[in-house]
Amino acid sequence: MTRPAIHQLVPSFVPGDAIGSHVRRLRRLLNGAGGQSRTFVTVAHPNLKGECEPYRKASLGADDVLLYHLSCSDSMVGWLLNQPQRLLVDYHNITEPKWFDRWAPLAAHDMRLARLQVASLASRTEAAIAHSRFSADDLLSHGYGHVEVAPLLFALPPGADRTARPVPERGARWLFVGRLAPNKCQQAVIGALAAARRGPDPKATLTLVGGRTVGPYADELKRLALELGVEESVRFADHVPDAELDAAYRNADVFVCLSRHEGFGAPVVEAMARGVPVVALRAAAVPETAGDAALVLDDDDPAVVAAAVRHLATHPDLVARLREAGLVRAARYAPEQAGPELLERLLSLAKLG
Amino acid sequence: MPAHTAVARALGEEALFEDYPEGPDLTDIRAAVERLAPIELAPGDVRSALGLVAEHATINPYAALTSRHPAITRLKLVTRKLTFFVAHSIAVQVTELAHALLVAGAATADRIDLLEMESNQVRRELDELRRRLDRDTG
Repeated sequence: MTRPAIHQLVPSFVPGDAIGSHVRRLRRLLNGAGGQSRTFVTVAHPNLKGECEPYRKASLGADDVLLYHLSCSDSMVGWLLNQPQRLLVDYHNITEPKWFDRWAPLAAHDMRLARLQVASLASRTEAAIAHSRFSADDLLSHGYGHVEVAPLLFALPPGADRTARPVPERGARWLFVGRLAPNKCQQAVIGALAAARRGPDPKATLTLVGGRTVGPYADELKRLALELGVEESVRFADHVPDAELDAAYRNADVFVCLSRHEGFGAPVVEAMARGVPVVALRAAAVPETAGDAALVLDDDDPAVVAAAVRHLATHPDLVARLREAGLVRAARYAPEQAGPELLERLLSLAKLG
Repeated sequence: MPAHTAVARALGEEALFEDYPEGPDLTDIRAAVERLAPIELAPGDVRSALGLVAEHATINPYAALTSRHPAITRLKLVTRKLTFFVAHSIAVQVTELAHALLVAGAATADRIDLLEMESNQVRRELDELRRRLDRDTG
């Protein structure tokens, strides 16, 4: 008898996107474990069309299990509610709309709709996976009965440069990676850099890698840099190819994350995997992702953040400790460790293991 | 507790090192950063809602050109140049409409505030009359 398959359903299937990458890796794992997993989508990037099928044309077996990747509002939810198959949810978190009301009201509206869909799926969902306790709590608050925390699958570099490299006292290169979005609070990083440059590190620079998804907010960030007199020291790198992203991490002296809403915070792990010390704000899922391998601050005041980076510059022993702890932390998320853990959890939830 | 957790706490408590003198510079930085904070709406908060409208009242006719592919960037640039005459004209009209709506919204908010003040005054006078009536008939 063939084992029932776990099929993945994803609204938007895009290469290079965190969810797209997670879905592809998970499909390989599911198929490697003897399943016949297919991917159903609402829309897909042309390069991925051979890997997926439109959900409306899905022919499913009665015993199949559906795994819906929930990260935005989508018409697929209405269809899902009427399918007889068992349903699992893989929750990638939905940003609180309040962050987007000011800059992108349409996006905020979509987030509100998505939150309604989260609630509407609660009674239909047998069990859910979240990638942080923070996200799991969000699902539980929406009435989900069974939620487990399991790793997100994403690429990490095979080996980090373990050579101890101190944070320089002058000319430290700060980095943050994440799309230019209000919940990620790049303005706080720019403000902290300005404080550092007016304080003990007048040569500090900042690279912000990330696509310009919210135009008015991105424009305001550039205006802020100009207003604070740091426009020459802040580089807006937009989307970059993987090789350039890797170079950005490897050239950075410190990774500064002051994001207020992250469902996981993959760039924090990516920085750790490359041996870059992390300074982060205690907000949303970031502290649990970073664990004890980052300098986690309770305050994103520019002076406090600048002082934290300065503290690293004057304490190479602390940097070395953070780097070692970061490498250990990142190893937990490496695909060879995270993949089997997620698969086991999923099969157990689907009671197929 | 790892040593760096204690360091982070100390940083938060001390807030500043000697190299970061409190003063106009830092105050300016904090104020500038704060200007980009989200506008949170309480139910019925007309003025904050108008603040949100104000953020989008000026329409930018310059569509973004960025793309991962240089050829697409060039194509977008050509398209933008070809259609700018129309886009600019529409942007100006929509911007003017949005600003007129803001003025109307502000006038409505003023009127609501005035009516609330008047109704509060009337309520106070009614309460006073009731008290007097109770006293005179009691």
